[in-house]
Amino acid sequence: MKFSYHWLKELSGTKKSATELANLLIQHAFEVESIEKIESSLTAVVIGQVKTLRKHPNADRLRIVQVELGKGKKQEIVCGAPNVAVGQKVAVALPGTLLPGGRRIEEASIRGAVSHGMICSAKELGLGEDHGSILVLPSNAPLGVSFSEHFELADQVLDIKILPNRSSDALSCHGMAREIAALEKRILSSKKNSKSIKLKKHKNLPKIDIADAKGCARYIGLLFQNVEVASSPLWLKWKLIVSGLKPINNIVDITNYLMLLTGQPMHAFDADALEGGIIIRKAKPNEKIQLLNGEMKALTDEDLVIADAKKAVALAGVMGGIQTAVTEKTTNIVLEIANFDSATIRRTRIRHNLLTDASYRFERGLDPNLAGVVAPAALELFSNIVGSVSGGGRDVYPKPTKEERAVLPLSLVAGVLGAKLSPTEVTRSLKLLGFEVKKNGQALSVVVPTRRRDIHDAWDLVEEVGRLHGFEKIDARAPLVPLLPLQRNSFKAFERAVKEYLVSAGFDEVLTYSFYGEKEIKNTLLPLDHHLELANPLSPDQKYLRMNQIPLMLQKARENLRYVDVFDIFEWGSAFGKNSETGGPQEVKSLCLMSVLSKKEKNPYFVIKGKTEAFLEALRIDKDRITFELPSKFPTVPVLAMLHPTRSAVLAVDGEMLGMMGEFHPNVLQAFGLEPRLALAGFVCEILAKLQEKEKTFLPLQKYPYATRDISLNFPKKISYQEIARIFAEAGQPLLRKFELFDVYEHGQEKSLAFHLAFGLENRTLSSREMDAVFERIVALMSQKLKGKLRQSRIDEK
Amino acid sequence: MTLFEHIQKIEKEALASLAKLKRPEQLASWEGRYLGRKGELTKLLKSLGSLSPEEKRTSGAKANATKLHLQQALEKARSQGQNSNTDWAKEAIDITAPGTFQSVGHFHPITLVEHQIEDIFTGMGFTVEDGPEVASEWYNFDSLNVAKDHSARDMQDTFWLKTEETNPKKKFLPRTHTSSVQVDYMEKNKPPFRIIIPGKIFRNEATDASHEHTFHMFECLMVDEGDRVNVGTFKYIAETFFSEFFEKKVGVRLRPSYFPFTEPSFEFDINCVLCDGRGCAVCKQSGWLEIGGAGMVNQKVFEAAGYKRGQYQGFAWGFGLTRLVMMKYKITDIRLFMSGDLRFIRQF
Repeated sequence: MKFSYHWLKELSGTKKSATELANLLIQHAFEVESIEKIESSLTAVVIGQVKTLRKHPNADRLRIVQVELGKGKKQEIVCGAPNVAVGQKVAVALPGTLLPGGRRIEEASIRGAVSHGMICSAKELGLGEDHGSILVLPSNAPLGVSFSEHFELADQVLDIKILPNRSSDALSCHGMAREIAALEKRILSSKKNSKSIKLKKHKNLPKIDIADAKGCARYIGLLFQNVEVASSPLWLKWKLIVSGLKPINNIVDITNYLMLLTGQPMHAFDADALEGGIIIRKAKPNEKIQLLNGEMKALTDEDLVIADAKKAVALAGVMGGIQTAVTEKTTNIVLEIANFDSATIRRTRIRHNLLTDASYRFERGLDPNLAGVVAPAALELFSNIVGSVSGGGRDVYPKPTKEERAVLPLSLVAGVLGAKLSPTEVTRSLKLLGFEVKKNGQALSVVVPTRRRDIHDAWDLVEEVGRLHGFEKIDARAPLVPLLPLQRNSFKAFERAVKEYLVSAGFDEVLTYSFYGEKEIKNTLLPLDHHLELANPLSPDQKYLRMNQIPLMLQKARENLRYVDVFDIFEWGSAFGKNSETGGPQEVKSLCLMSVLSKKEKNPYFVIKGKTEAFLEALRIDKDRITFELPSKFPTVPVLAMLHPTRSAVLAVDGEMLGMMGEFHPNVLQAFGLEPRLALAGFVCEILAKLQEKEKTFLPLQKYPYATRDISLNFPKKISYQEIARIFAEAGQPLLRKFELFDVYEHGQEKSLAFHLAFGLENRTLSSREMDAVFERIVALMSQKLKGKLRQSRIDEK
Repeated sequence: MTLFEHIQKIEKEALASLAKLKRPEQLASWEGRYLGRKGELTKLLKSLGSLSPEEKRTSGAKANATKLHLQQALEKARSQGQNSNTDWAKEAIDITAPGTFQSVGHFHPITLVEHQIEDIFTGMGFTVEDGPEVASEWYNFDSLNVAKDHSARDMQDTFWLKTEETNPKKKFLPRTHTSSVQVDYMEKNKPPFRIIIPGKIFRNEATDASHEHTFHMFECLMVDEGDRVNVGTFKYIAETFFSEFFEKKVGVRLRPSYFPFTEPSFEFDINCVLCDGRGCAVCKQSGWLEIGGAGMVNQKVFEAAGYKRGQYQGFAWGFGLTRLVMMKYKITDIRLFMSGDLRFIRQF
């Protein structure tokens, strides 16, 4: 909220400068976001008095005015305003004056008569919309004095951030002044928020019926008769302008002024447009209202409205209706000073997207007793400014709000703050803030003023005591806590180990958004209906939560290719999907490795597979449990659609998919404008982490030499390495120690694979007879199970 | 010619011929000729026996000195490469040219600073924890004392998942803060505990050079029995952390604020690390940098986690990791973090 420094000074009695005040508030209460200087451009405008008037010789509607400017100085000015009259105090802009809006006044000849300046209207001074008539100043305004100095127009505006907990007591000039005084260790004498007020009854005053007691705690209606809607006095206008509001007319200005002053929003109805009594109720089905801003709103039965016998006349606490609005023709007014339920107002504000000064205050919660102080002030202002006749009022307040009580043990203050404050200081602080305090042994009994809707218990009070003392004064103190061994989160440790390995292996780490759009989903052949969708995305291309990082990483790969030709990137992050049972969200950590390889690379599959194998080895993942399967074996897994059907693999453990790797489907690459030299590997990190070997048992080193032998076998082309390896492992038991593929050669429908084999025993040297037996068994099984034919073998003793 | 002169002559001859030799086998035969068992010097030394004691002394000393001298000359010739067949000049390369490319990866700067922060906190006995990025309305708001119809909800612009569900435990959102992990963790663990939670968070606000809808923050939570952990403790942990992080003494200033899940609540500032608190453009001449929010865990949050009111006390503290990274490396555009641009990543 924007606060005028002059106004706060006047109300609080502070002697501090605006900057000093800001520092005080920052340390003990609120953040002051800015201090803005209002440099009045009206310093050169002076106060004058109309001495004589005479007709302009050449123009019927102009007159030549002689104004006195103090110390006997007089000037002649040509003026066209109809309301100019002898004896008036007026604002005079002499030649050389620059007015708001950039207009410079110069000596000028107007239809043959020389004008030495201008008598200003409110609009010309930037003080309102009225420009047909000149601004008439109060008769006690001193002659020849600078206009802005006399009216204190040069001001400083403090923009103070009032958080939701303090809106009920501090979102007003009165509240802020009270706070400033308390921080300066003074208590302001002011009227307490009031449960009951005395109001005159009047026969024309409509009846008030609160039909929804939950939605409306209190409703005061005041009747004003013989109202003349006009422009407000200068001081009132200026207070509104400085506080960031636009003056409109005396009625609206008074309600806005009182809201700024006290925090209580109010609303004026044209009394003659009301048909019958006032009812505060929920909206009826299909009920509609046209609001002051012209919008027609269809209401729901959760909206609270102010209604007369026939129709809704206002959306309670948010905005009035146009049918009962105060216009220039209005002569009788009903002024509403009410208290509405914060949750109800908040829901209505959100539903209809109507943020107003009133809804802002009501949805943060106000003290119903505040209305009781504001009503007398409103009566006084209407009488003084509008000159209207009070028609009395009604105050409907079925269940008056009472003060809450709390007990504050003194030990809690020291315990929470970690600083010893004397009981005297604690008591004094609370009293300064308006609490009633009684010492009761080692505790304080506290009565909380109703305006402090944020204070309910001892902890709330500790906060108050702490901030008055000043949190900055509390000393840093090392805790006295037991020394315990560090608990490690093994998954976070795994994450760090993964990142550290990948970076050392040449991968750059990228981070991408968790959202993408339909285009990315289509381009990567992902299923749209598996995605979680945002109800309120920033834009359509950020509408879905990612199923994995691949779509955006492909996009980043494309962008980086403008500057780098060959690179490896990775991202560790959350991936989302729908839980098949609950339909709710499902989240896993996903790790994606992406390699953009050199243009010469023919088999990106094997490059990424090599990187994957090294990664698994480095992370001590139990590789023997992982199998590489063709994606076609997993027809129900939709993410596999983005892969090249015959140059990619699913990584599985006991049939459960833990990741995928390989080359991309050509359609995917084409959609992203990429060449076929990309490869990817993706893992579900939770499954991967579980495969980390926790314990290792030492195996004795081989004492006796291995006997090695090479073997070359012909197979039908469709036989996979994995099948062949399984035969080696099975048939080689227990003598075959190692087998290593060193050559592949394809010819026609056959392929030839060559392996280095190593045989050995732990306790003695192997005999060639023993080795031959195993070798024969391998050859026999290869032939029997895989149609493998022995091409040649070579014995090589080591 | 005296024996002495003879030795001198051999020495002169030997050195002259050594200088002309290039290949290792030449050096070997030179060694045989002058220094070997049947070499010229050895022969001379053998003949010393027949001489007078006076001659023995002078010529003997000279012969030994010469032998040593020739041995040194041979070693020098060998070490200087006279023993190689190689044409070294032809072999020469430009040793200042760059090495064969060996790719080295780079951490994202967020990760780099995250690790640094984790190391400081684990050193103080804190455990690094993790939590889901999509949280229930209950964990993100209600359990943290941010009721559905409370205007404190407006303090964070929130994305919501599309759903018909109204139960806050079954209604989900991309979390607006890492505080969403607090109650979930407290339900599964009992105090005392000290944890930090780094992570990605989401706010529904338009992106520009200083605003992002996705950024990283850090949560720090320390809870113990009685009043072991109080405002003074928080100040100590915060000062220690920032002093370690910036490698200089950094003061912390607490100002009153409001967060529904803490009470008392603070905004906290640190001494401007650029001007050491003297006032500069970065801290807008205030000498302080606004870093984050903190406070003592609201007892209502403990109650939401099933703890008894008043049994435990602790502080919660959250701050922008992204902001800290921007400060550390003087990064001026927040959008670079999610850009995936290797020209950015490879600087760290």
